[in-house]
Amino acid sequence: MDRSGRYLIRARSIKILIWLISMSSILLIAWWRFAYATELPRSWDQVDFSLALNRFDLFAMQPHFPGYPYFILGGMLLNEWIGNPVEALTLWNGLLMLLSMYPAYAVSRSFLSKTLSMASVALIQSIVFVNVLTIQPMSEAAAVAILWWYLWSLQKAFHREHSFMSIVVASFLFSLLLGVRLSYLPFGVGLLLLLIQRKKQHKSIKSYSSFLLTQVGIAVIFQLIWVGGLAASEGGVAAFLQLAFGFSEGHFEEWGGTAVSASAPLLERISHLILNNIVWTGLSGQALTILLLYLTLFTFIIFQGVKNRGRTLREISWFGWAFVAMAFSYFLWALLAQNIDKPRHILPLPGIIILGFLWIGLRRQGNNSTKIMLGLTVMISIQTIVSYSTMKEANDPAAVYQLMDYVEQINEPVIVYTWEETRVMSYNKVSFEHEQIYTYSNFLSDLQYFDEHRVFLTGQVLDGFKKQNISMDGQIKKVKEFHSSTLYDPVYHDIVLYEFLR
Amino acid sequence: MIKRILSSALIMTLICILAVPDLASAYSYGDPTEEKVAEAYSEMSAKLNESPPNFAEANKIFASVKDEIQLHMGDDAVQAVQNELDNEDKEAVITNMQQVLVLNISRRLENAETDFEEYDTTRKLVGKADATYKTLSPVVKQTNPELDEKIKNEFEVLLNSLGNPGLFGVGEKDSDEEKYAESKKVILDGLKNQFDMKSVEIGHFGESATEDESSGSEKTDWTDLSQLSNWLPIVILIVVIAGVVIYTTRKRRRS
Repeated sequence: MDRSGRYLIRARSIKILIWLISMSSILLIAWWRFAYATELPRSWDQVDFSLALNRFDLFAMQPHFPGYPYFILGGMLLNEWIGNPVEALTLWNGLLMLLSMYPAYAVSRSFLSKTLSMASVALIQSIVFVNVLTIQPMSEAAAVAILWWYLWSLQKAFHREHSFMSIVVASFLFSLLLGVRLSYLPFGVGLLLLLIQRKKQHKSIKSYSSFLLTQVGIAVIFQLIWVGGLAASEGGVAAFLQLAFGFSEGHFEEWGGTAVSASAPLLERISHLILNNIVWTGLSGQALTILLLYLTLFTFIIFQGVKNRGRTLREISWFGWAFVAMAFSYFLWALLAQNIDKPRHILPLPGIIILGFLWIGLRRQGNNSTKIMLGLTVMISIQTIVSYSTMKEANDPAAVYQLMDYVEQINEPVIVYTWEETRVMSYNKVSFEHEQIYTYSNFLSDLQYFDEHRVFLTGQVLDGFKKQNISMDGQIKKVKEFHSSTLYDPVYHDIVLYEFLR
Repeated sequence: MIKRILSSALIMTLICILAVPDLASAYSYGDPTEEKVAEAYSEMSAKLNESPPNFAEANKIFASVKDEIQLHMGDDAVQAVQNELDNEDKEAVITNMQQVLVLNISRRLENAETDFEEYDTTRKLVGKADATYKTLSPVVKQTNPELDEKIKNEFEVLLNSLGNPGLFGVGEKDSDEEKYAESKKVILDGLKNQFDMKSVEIGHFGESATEDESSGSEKTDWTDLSQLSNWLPIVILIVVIAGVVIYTTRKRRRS
């Protein structure tokens, strides 16, 4: 056999390998998302979402503002035959994630071969952190799934320069996106750029401005669908607005915040956001193997790019720039306006980063070294395995559940003072008293009503008191510690229980 | 092109941040059902429970809600609390404030009943009554845990009897005024006995109170238009979609 024949056989077998691994990864993950779906809410926000399916009531914070209407609506409909709000919401996430395979494939297809596009989809679907959030009753995964459709529609629209309807489709998908998660607003920059791109088709300012007016009008109307639905659910626009303003007056200052609060210096925020939230949690799923693999893959891709003189800036299309602009806007937004204690806010970024690197390093026609191809199959397999072992832990009791079990075994009247755990406790209708407490003076005044009770406090409550310059040394005794996964419980994964000795 | 793209990205981010002011600080959301009088009670009792009781601070806090109490619960209510504050009788201040809270619950629930078909109003008023009860709940529970449990359950019944517009019609529930009236009676009677009050009608502290349209300051005229305007977006949407479809099909036919 001559040399080229052998080369062809080898190329074909690698191709088959990539298809096999990608397909099985995607199928398995779709199944695990269903099999390991969370059954109980682990945090305040998850309780908010779960309660919303029984009675949609922004006033009672079920869910909290701004209401996430399309996310809840899907959950409500699924809950008709599921009967467990938490599982209904996770199933909705799983379905949407599965459907997002198509747009992710189509976007990859614009610069990759069919085989590599498949690999790209498998890589994106098997991101550990994405799967962690898909199986929880939170709106992030649903939003990321819709984001792929939105990106796909933008790419189509940038491409078909004369199509009016393609912009309408993009702006409709953008309204779905915001109706699931308002905080994905910065992705609107893509739509904005689309409108700017169309300028050259208009000969006069007049025709361009009438075009703009129509498109912006349509976009606004699409957004009004979900805003209108929300307003109706509150009984009217006025009530809705009042509620909106009521909510945005947060109570953050009262008790000093959490680990890395808004007041942390910018540099600290940036490094925490990039290193911990995006790279360590978002991309690597807090697994060292994956971190190393990504570092190797990305280094290799960049090296390869430099060697082959890579792609030039001129090769970047309008859509490419819009893609970069959206990623950058969202990054800034996550940095400046989102709670960086909760890594879930960066969920759209890992997939975008991966796609960006594939774009830099891979070509549509051949030329892709077998090393990169094999590297991709290894990445997909390892990510899938880690996703599996992580998803399997989803129903291990969260620290707050361990705490609840412990306290329920005490056969005396008990009151536990906590922060946000109290909402999970009331969802589960625990048999003991519990209360959210931030200030020391409220604690003292509340205490008088519980003369006959043993009093417990969580470590966070004590830390909060400390920030108010109250030291309780000598009055408290450490009772027990509870730990759970930092991936599943980013804020309340370590709970220390203290007893207050009167 | 690059310059334009980068600058628009920055502008967009800026718009987002400006459009949602203070978002960075609103990590834990404020509670829209918050009731000022109830909050004031909690803070006052915290100050009075210091040793020695901090009457100066309690006075200050009370001053901040005096007007509201006067407007809705009458002059005598204010006088009663104020006298005890001046006498520096801690227990009496707290007891009087608790009675003010009971009156507050009563007025919120009564007002909700007057406007029973207006979900936006009733939901808010019942929410505020509920928030007020939550501050009283430990007091009730201490001496009468069964009553506390009962009242909490009745508040759930109240909420459900208001009905619910649902989300896009899903989960819609009808209101039930009779049920509401029953629950309201159970709650108010329970509280009346518990706090040893002659009546929870306005004017327990005296007859001078004139309850005006109490939610008037919160409820402006344009609330009433809201029912109609809810449907406006959907109507406009349908019109525009139809317009676009007709426009494009016509154009295609012509070409």
